[in-house]
Amino acid sequence: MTDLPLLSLIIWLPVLGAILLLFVKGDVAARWVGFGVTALVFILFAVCFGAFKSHIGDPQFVERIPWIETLGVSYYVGADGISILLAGITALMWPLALLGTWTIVTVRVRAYQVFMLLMQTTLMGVFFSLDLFQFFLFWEGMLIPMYFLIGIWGYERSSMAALKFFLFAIFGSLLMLAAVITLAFLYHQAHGVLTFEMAALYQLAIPPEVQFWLALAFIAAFAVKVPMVPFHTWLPDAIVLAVVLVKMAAYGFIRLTLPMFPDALAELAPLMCGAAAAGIVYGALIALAQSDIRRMIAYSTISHAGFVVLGVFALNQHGIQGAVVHIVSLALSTGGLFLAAMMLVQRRNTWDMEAYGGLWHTIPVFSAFLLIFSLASVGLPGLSNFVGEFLILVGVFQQHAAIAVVAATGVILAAVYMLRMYRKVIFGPLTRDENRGIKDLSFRETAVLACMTLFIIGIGVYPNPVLRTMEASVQKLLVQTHRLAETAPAGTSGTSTEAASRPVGLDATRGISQDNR
Amino acid sequence: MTESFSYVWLIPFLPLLGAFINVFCNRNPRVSGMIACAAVATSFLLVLAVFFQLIGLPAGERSVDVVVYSWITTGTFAVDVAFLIDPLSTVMMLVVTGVGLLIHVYSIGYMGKDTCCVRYFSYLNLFMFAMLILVMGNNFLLMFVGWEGVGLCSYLLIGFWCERQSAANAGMKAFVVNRVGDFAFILGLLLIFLYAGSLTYADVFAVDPNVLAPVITAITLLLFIGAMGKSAQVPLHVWLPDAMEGPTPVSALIHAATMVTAGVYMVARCHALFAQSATAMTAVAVVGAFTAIFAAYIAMTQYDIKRVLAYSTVSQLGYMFLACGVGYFTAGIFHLVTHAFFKALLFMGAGSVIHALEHALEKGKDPQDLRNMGGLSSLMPVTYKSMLLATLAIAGIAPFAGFFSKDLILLGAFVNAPVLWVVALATAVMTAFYMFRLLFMTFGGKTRMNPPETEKVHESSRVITIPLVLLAILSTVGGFIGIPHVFAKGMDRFGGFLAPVFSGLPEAPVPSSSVELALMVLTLLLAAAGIWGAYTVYIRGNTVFDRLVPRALYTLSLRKFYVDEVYDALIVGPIRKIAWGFSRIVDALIIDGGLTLAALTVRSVGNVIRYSQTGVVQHYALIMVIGALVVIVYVTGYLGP
Amino acid sequence: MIPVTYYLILSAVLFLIGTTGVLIRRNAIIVLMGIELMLNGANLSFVAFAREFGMADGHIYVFLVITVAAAEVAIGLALVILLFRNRGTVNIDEVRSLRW
Repeated sequence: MTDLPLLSLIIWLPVLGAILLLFVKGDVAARWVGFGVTALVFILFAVCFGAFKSHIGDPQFVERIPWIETLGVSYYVGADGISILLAGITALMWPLALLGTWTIVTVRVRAYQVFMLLMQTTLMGVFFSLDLFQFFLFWEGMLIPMYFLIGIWGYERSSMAALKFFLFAIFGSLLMLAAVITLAFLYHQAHGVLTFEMAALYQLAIPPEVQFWLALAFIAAFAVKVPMVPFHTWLPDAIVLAVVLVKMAAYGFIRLTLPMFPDALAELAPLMCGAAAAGIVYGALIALAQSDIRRMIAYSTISHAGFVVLGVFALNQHGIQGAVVHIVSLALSTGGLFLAAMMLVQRRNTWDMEAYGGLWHTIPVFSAFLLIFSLASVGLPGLSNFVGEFLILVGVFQQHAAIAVVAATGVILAAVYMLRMYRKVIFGPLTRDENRGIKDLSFRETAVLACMTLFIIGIGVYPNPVLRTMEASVQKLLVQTHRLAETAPAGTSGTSTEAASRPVGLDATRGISQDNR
Repeated sequence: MTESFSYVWLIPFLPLLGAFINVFCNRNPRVSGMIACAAVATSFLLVLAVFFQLIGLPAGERSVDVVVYSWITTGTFAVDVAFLIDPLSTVMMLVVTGVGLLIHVYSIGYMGKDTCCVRYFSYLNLFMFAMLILVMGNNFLLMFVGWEGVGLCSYLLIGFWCERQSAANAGMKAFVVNRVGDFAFILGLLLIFLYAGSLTYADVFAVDPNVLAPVITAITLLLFIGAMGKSAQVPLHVWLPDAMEGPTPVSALIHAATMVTAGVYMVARCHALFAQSATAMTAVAVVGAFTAIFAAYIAMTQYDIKRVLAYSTVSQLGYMFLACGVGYFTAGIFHLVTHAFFKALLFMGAGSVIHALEHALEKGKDPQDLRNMGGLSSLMPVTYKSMLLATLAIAGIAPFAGFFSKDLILLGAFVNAPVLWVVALATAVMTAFYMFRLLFMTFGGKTRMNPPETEKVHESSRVITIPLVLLAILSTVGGFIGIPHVFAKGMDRFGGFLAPVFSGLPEAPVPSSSVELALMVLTLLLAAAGIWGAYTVYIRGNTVFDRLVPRALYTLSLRKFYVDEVYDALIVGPIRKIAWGFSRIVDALIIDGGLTLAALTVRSVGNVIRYSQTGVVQHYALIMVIGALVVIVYVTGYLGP
Repeated sequence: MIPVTYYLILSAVLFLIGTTGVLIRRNAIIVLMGIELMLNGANLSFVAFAREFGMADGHIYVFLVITVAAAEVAIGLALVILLFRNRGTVNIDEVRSLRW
């Protein structure tokens, strides 16, 4: 069983499904194919997760095939504790999302399925890539399905939103591309060979001032997609995919920015934390002023994304583990919230909160689910978001107490804007006749939301399996992240101690560090 | 020994199971109440078992941690789902499940006919679950789970009749105000973890005081702000009076058995921390005393029967904090217990009256307004008698339950903080006054109802009156679990039971017996004066107070010191404006506008340059040739022969 | 043996004639012919250098260019024919719908 190239199957199966879809006639069949393929991916993933050994911090299920040898690029995939969790939530959310939008998407159904499948491939590719070049390809490749998904199946102003998103993303990615090339170039300078292998690039000793600019370039690429204030204005119009992007961008921060640029982080991390905390409050405040459900959810996502970034740049185990848990919970809670909202809007065709009210007795099952998702979003203990938020706060509080205090105010504001929405939509008197005939959730919709709810409660009550899965990987990552920051004072006295603390590539790195200092 | 307590997880789990069954497996409203009651009753029996098992142990060993499973573990951060069984948590569990059970039974009579009673009973069970988690947890994080959990349940239950806008608003207000307290609480937790390296009570309380010294005041004050939110202390008291939008049994549950007592429990649980900071102790005592008199003052003029009781709860909670603040934690918990008895009874009695009047009064008349009542004593004798006992208890008349606990608090205040003692005494007078005012206006004198209305009023059913009677008995004799030393040495069973918990505290100074007796007589006299005042005004119809008290003081009380209005003006309004400003101006105008501006700039530049595209192929070719020449010249650096 | 310079001068002359034709003639067919001249001017210098250095690379490139040129002429003529059918003219000054 383990001889199968599991990760490659997970990555490429959706593409096969997309090709199959080209030969399928009819909307219903297309839906079934899309759902079937994603379900299969989920099963494969479950097999993979079952075989995953959480005590190992290194990538597992590694596959490596030389690809563009002159550039030192190879097809190189593997999963460590962090990527397997994020891939896991992707594998889980995809069939649920397709099932949830079964009747919501009614135009160009086949194309929708194709793009969704392609997007899953690019996402999985991003999570499993161990080669920076390949990472970049998947990262950029995702823009294509995303552009069409936002443009065709978004809501009003969606083509504008798609363009805006595309330009934002391209802008960030260009900077990242430049940084990727610089990294490979620096490596070539130091070792005489070209490679894009992440593990090798981690070991590269880069002069701090260069690190600073490279880190900024990477941060720009990821900050656009997280999104961090003030790069967020594409989001409210393109909310459909916000959750996906948070996941990817945060992964980028964790996988690339942290281990590559330890020196630059000493300077940048407090700034990033500050910006993230500001984003939390900013997003929450704006969410408070929205009367459009979709925009409210969008700004709440911005606020939550701030928490994720905050956790990542706390640069300690609590913060990073909290951030990963929070990403997973966000996918469930915000994804659930948005899916539920779409189901409601499908029935009444308006996003305006004021158009609802008094739905509690009309559609009790829906109301119950919306309540659970809202409460998860608010960070109620016992539900998954709390675990992430609390760990992030623990992590940040150790580094920057004041920032943690600011971030924690987001907890109050979250309660206000979520419950305000809930009060307007569900509570209150039933004043409009058109709300009287709304049908409650169908079996399919209930099943989708119930599945997400189960995971929300499960992670909230017993998060340790999730935490344990990534523990070793996060520890390894932190060793990487703190390698120079800790040895820097020692390095000035003599390069031998410095070199000894580095696990790989001793000779070469020593040479380079002498050049730099 | 731990093994023998391994069943305690069932205590909170059973109500959760009850809620689960009611939500998913039960469609029959009649059965729902039974299921809920059975769950809580079983829990209560288990708590009794725990209690007897605990007193079977030697006093020094009465603190047992029961680990269920490990909850959150990352590196150095480890928190278990684990329960702490000690006298303090056992007392709380007894109150929660015992009084809670009576309220559940009462609810069958009160809510049984409501179409949504399945939902109601599942919320009620969930409430018990959250509260039990709160009091049983052996670490701060688990307490926080219960802490937020009761907040959620209060939100759901206060907003139970959510089609009423006011109920929906009140529910949200409760949750948000609680969240303000929770915010401080969570910061306190973070500080504790940072300095103590753990969130488990046993570890935190065992930390060397010198380690915590730099932040102990911050920690305790933050925790106390959390307690103020949950226990409705000024200035975070605003949600509690509004909480009566929920069904009346819910008010009984929130005000007596669960929720509001959480803050007092937390302060008592953390007594080891609070005792290290004199500032925090003073803050607790002062806030408690101020809240006590502030709320009592408001209660004196309110006309809504439940609102009077709500402010009375706020006031009594102030007493409890006063007790904690002067170091008399046992007294605080003692008052918590007795208060649970008589306040649950008062609310349930009020509910019984409201229930009766709802059917009797004409349309448009408010069944909760004291001005629509009067002379009900003969019509509802059981309710009247039990409420009379409860009123005597809360007024602090010997030998009812409230007398003993209140007396202990006053004693503590007298010894440690004479100024606060005066405040507490004044509050005692006011308490007697407003409670008897309520009693007289409801049951005494002549009725203010029309004859056809009066005919329809009748005593509530057995399901309602039996819990009333049981609680009346408890309110009457409940105080005897803690008889002061003055009367009988060694008869303070309650204090003795809790003693191991608070053993780490310095011995409080005890005044001589004669002083103590004198104090008792003084409080009794003052309470009697309060009752006499209420009698004069509301039975005899004497208008002497109207002439004596300035109108402004009266309006201030009636309008509740305009706290809600001030909050609206100073906090809610500005936040709305800021949010609006950020949304419309910063986000839409500056950030998004800036982007649009950048896009427009690019476009207008393009508009100019595009005229270079003539469409004539040969122009392009010419430019290419020139370009090629330029490149050649540049590369060769050669301009001529 | 004729020095390589002679070939190069001839090649440059051919290339310039071709360029001039491309730049100033209006008839699309003549323009195409100009392009052919330019290509052949380049071919000539390839061949000249190949002989000079005794390497086959130049010949290989010439074959490549001839092949590409053949394809290019085929497509170019096809375009011109289509242009004539649609617009009734092969005057490239009149075909300028791709401007701003």
